[in-house]
Amino acid sequence: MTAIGDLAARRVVGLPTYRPGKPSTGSAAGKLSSNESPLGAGPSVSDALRAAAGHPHRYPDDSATRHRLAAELGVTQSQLLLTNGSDELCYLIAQMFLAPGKRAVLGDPCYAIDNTVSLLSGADVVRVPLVRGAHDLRAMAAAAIDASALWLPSPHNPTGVAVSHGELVLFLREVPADCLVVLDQAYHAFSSPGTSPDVAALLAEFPNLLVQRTMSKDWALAGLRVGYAIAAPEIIGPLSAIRPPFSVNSFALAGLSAAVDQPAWQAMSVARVREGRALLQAELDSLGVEYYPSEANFVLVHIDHSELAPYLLEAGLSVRSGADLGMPGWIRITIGWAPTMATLIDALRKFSSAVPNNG
Amino acid sequence: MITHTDALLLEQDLTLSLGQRELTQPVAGQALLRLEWAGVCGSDLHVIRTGDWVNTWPATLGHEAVGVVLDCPGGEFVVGTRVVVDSRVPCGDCHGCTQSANLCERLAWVGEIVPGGFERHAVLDVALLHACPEGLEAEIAVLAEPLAVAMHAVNRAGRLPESVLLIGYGPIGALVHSEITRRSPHINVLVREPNPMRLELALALGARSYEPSHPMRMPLVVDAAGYATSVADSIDLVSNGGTVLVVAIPHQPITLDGQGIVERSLNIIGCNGFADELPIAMAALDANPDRYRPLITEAVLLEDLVARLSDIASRPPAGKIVVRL
Repeated sequence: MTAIGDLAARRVVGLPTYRPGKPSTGSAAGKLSSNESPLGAGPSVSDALRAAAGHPHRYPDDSATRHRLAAELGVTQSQLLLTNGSDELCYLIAQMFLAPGKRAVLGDPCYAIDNTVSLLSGADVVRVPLVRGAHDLRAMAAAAIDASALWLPSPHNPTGVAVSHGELVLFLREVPADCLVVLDQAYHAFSSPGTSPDVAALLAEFPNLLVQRTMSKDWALAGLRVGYAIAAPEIIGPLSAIRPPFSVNSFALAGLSAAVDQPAWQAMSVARVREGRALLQAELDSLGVEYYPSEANFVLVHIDHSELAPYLLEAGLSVRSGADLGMPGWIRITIGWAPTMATLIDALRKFSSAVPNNG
Repeated sequence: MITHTDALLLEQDLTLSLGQRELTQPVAGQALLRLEWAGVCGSDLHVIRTGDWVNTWPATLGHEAVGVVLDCPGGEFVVGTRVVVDSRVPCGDCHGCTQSANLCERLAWVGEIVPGGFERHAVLDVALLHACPEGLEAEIAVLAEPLAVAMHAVNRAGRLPESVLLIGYGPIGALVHSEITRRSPHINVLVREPNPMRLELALALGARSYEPSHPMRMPLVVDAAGYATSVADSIDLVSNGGTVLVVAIPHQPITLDGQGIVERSLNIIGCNGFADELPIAMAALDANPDRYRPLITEAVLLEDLVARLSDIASRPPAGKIVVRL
């Protein structure tokens, strides 16, 4: 290996490689492995993308979109930063707050990108095991002493378990004020009504809180890569300074604006996901299969992927192996379109009758 | 050889069960199908409540069906071909039949005169089968029959005005909406629908809610509700010279204001099934399947269908229910 190649290779030693969900062997609707929206984005998004296609020679201008989104969220523009998917935000946070000699606190298992960026920064990474799929908030708060950043996905990926508003307030009071708490709310829209934390109130009380969101899930813009941060201007300003210019492209901005202008589509899509999740969980109860009650658009189920694989293959479906997500022996099932979920339930019943002691 | 199939059975006393039905062996001019999906139609629910229109008992309802040809002795279809079932069974020798099957004076339907789609296998005349476009998902193709009905209804309305009021946003109302906006994306569609889940679907698909506090008459009113006074309400809400398109079947005889119809120069249009729209519907589904995906809001397995149908009155679906067979 060349000296420069060796240098590069040493930089990524120990870094896990991100593996995306596999496509289904049947129709695209059968892909239940990446927590994508089964119904896609609203019709107005396609129209907006067609319109944006007319101006590819112009650099993107995100001012109108930021204004629109800030108004929608009830925050000021100085509290909002758009990023190229929420994953870019992870990299920016690590770049800004983590470095060799600093400490990052994560759950175990955790969201893969949080782990990657923390390791890449050279910071010490402290992993706090989940308890029954939930963050051990007391242990995380203790680990946050002298830490610079703490990653808190809620609902958690891959377990789907969420932290309540009350638990979050108590936790944030325990965490030192100089430790940034990254509350990743990628899946918050799928939470049961009334269980999602009051972000405005939290931000007012805790200046070390950053709320991370994505347009990939409930807004169904995964392919456009848009995420955003909501935090105090003192946090957003420096993060904006290190974000590459124009990192959110014109199509993403157009799609975001169009999506936000059609909230009825998002409400309907989320309603379908909640219905599908309730049906799947009821089926798992009926089959006696262990799972974590989910507040997200997926359910983590205690079935080994390799055992279920033949049944999924026959049904033309794909789900995510828990081994990819730090939960070997489990699978993560994205809530799909109603007919896809019926096909999945049929496969689960066949599996369950053939392998009765699973779970 | 397949001699029996699992089927939903409706007895003459209107009890429902999952049982077995004997299959006749297909002869030339027929095909044996492995059915994949069937849709639950409002008329199925009407039959389950009333027993109307059924010729032989026990009945297996379901006239919105898609499946794969397992055997076709006459060779009209290659084994493995995915087909959509044409729900109409015309007599073939009346004056109406010379114009269109849906105008037959003795028109019967799959599921009522012959066993329908709520079973895993069926033997049907090849004349009732339409080959699906290559690659069209079965779960989408199952919408072909009700979409053909919606297309026929919109065809019957003639030239579409700029604003339409849709009363009722069950599956057929949603399909009528989809067809109107497929043809003319900028038509203003207002929806009057009391079920919040159905109204949510309508709004998501671009309709606006009709506000009773600001009543206004519209040039085209579509009655897709079928409640006791829905036709009368439609007449109240249509502009003078306008059209009331009656898509839903009223469950009981209705009384109309004949004087109002005359003096206000109203058009009252009925529409039975479809004429030649079934292949057009299949092509539309194939061209843009994602357009129709949100309209299917619930899917059940055949073995769970009895339980779901038993509580459907108290727990109506947001959109179309389809059955995996």
